[in-house]
Amino acid sequence: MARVKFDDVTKVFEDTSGPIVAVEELSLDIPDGEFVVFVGPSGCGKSTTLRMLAGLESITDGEIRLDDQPINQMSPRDRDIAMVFQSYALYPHKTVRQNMGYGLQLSTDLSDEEVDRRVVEAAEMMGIEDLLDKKPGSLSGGQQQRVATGRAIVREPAVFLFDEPLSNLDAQLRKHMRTELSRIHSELGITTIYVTHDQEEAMTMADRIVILNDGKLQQVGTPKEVYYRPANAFVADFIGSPSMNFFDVDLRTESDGSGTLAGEGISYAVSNDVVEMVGGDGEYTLGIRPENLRIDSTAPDAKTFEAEVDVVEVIGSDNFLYLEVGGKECRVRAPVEIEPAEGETVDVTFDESDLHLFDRNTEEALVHGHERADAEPRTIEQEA
Amino acid sequence: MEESTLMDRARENWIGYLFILPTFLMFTLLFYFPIVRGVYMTFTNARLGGAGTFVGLDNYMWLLTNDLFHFAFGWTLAFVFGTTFLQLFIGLFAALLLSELKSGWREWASAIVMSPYFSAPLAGGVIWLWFLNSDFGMLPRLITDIFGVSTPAFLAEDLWPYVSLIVAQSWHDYGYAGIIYAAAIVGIPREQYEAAALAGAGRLRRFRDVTLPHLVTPTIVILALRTAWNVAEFAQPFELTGGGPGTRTMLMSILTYETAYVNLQFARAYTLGMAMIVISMTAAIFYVTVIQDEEEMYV
Repeated sequence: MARVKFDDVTKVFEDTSGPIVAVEELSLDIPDGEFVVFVGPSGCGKSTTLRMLAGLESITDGEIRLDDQPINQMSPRDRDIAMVFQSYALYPHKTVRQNMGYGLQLSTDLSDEEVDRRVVEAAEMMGIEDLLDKKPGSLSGGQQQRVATGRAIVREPAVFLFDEPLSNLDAQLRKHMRTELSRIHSELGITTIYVTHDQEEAMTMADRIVILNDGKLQQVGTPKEVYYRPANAFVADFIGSPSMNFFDVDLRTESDGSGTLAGEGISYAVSNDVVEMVGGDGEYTLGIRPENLRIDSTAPDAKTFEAEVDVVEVIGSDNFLYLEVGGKECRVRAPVEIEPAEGETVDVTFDESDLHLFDRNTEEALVHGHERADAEPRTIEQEA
Repeated sequence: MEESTLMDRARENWIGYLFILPTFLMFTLLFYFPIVRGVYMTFTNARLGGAGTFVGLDNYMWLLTNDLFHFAFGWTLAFVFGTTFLQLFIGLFAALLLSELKSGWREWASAIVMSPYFSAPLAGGVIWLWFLNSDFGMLPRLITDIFGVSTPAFLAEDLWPYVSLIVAQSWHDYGYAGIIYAAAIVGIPREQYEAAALAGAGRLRRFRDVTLPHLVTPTIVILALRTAWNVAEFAQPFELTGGGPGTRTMLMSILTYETAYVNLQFARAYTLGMAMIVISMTAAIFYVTVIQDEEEMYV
């Protein structure tokens, strides 16, 4: 078990077309026992970061420390780290038992009986004790995934690394394995770093989420923090499904200190609190989540805008409405009772406490609802 | 269901038979007929130009009682065994070195390393002749000039001609093993090496536990094909020693040639060919059996 610390870690790949910066000055402190998920679109540097920690990729600049010990120059075998690969990387000619025991045999001086006892124990934990004498070629994808995870568990390493371990499974099995991996983490309490491009996986599994884009750290926070208080427009867009609606708006201040956000078919009156927080007139990006938009003809005119219904998707628990506002698509997650006809014009509103305002140039978040961006994060209870 | 006669089925599927007829005719004409005729010829005393008369098993008796054939059979086995395994090891070594190169360099280095395989065997023979010949060869002269000692005749004295033929043939064909091994090594998933490295395996250990198991199937393919080709290898040994001095390096392939075109004994030459086929097929059957065991490796 260990604490992992990244200190200004940079990775530059030399390519024939010039250097490519994969990870740029990443600093991160992961306390012992935490389950951290790295999430971001492909090419954002999340896997590279993981591979640097494992020792499979050299570190161009900066330092990675394991329990305050720098590991930059340490070979992978000396780091006491176990990794589960997306392709599982099982040895095809070895049985499940041999696959799982391989690391213990090489890196420890345990007796064969002791190795076997631990392999069986890990296999029981993963529910694969019946498969121990089979070879990977005769196992299903889900079973192979379990063997790969079991192979990592059996070593009881200081840190677990998972590189998109569930991407090759079907949706149902993926959800099941999510729960199972979370259960294993809480049983073993080993520091875990998990890489995925699936924001839902990140939200459901993580103690803390690390969001990366273009090799740069965007935000680190608990799932609630990154959802309710995204640091910038990228995080706001990436986290949450369907993703947040964005409108380019201008703020006009009235004489009484309140204001109006207007632009792209929207006009929305905001209180003087919001005006005060953003700091007066200017160009902003308004962000509002589909689940915070309401179809409501009784709302006050100043806080309503009109939209034309484009498509209605019925998914059972909710209805997804795709509206057209000022020529742009606007997604609304509505309760099942709200099912307008396509082509109908509806009134859309939202609560001021649910809005997010971003600087249009830097895309940095300025306002989340009523509260200042530097205030304590709100909990869901307060939100409700 | 009603039992259908052969004629019924032929009438039903006549279009299908029509389509395979041309291929079947050509195969019969160019492939099956010569084989059957050749096998028949081994029971005659046919010489160049004549059909010969039926002589029963005379040719096979001649073969089994012929001292030169006994020698050629044994030497061919040694030659095939030596060249095949040398080719295998040199090819593996070349492929491993190539896999360490960066892509871009690798393609060019591969082309150069593999080039002997793409050269005509006769050209290879000329190269080795210029290299080993005691009168004008480069190697004897270099050794004499540098160490001041005289060298044995590499193509004539003691065991040297045997070594020379095996080395020259391995040089020519190791590229074949190299190409197949290189393709197999490139195809090994990188994650398996990485997983092994994280598990604590060093370089040699990774080679043993990850690389080698992936090379079992390619090895058997190379062995089977190279064995068959090395049995039939003719051009380069013929050019280097011609089976000599005297008949001391007589391979079955050279013996077949001499029987057919020097002694004009076509029937006997074909009988020799049958013996070569027996060697290749025995080896092939052995390898196929091994492949079946190998397939069980993964289940």
